[in-house]
Amino acid sequence: MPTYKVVVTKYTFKKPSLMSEQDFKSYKQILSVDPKYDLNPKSELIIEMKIIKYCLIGIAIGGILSILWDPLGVIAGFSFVTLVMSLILGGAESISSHERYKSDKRKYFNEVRNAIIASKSYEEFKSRIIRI
Amino acid sequence: MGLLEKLKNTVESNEIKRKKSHLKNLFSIAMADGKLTNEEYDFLLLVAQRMYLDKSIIQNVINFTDDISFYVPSHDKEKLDQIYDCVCMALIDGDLNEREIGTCKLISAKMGFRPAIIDQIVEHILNSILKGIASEIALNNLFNEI
Repeated sequence: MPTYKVVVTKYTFKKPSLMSEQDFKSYKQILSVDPKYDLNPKSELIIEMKIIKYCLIGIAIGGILSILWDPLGVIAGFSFVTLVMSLILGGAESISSHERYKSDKRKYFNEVRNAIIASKSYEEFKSRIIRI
Repeated sequence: MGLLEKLKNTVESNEIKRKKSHLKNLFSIAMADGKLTNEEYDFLLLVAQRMYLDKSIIQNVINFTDDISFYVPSHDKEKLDQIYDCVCMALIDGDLNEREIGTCKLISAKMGFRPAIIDQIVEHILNSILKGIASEIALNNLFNEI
């Protein structure tokens, strides 16, 4: 009986160390100009998402090419099977874990931003950040 | 009109997008204190001329600021060149206010520099301008420092 291995990558957000007073002052000045400035560093596209992206491109291109010449539909078919397989073999769960990680990260940096805006001094910021 | 401008901006070459984004940044610094002085407008003209852009582009940037996307230069040298112009714009009317410098720092942050580096960059450029050091020398020194 064939066996298959499900590989799930778990992502967890770890809070960064406390920012320095210089960073705090600089961000404070930046946020006074644009209070919506996003402190959250951009996340890299994870491998599972890259696979899905390429599979979707394959399905789209294969679909278009199959209109020109039927046998080329195999490209779309192959891409579709790869997509389904990668989702079943842990891709879906990894993506879901990464989405949770991104959401936690976004929430944390939003709170840091609010703490910077609300704090009048670095000491006040430190006392606020401990509670996040 | 906004949609049409957005569409026009989308189909423009990356080169034009990059230049317009820089002019938009300069304009937002000029407007940080709520008014565009003659000196600030002249500086916008100077930068546009230096980038081989027509005067009409400036009008387009002023009228449709929100339709121009922020463009992050791909090289640090170009980023520093743009920040240099931003600091010049903040200083051009002889009245350096917190908001103008804050806008320069915001633009630098959007370009991907970390706050500690941003302070260093802005301070370095400010000092070089005030000491009358040529921009090329100031930027070369800065580029080697960071």
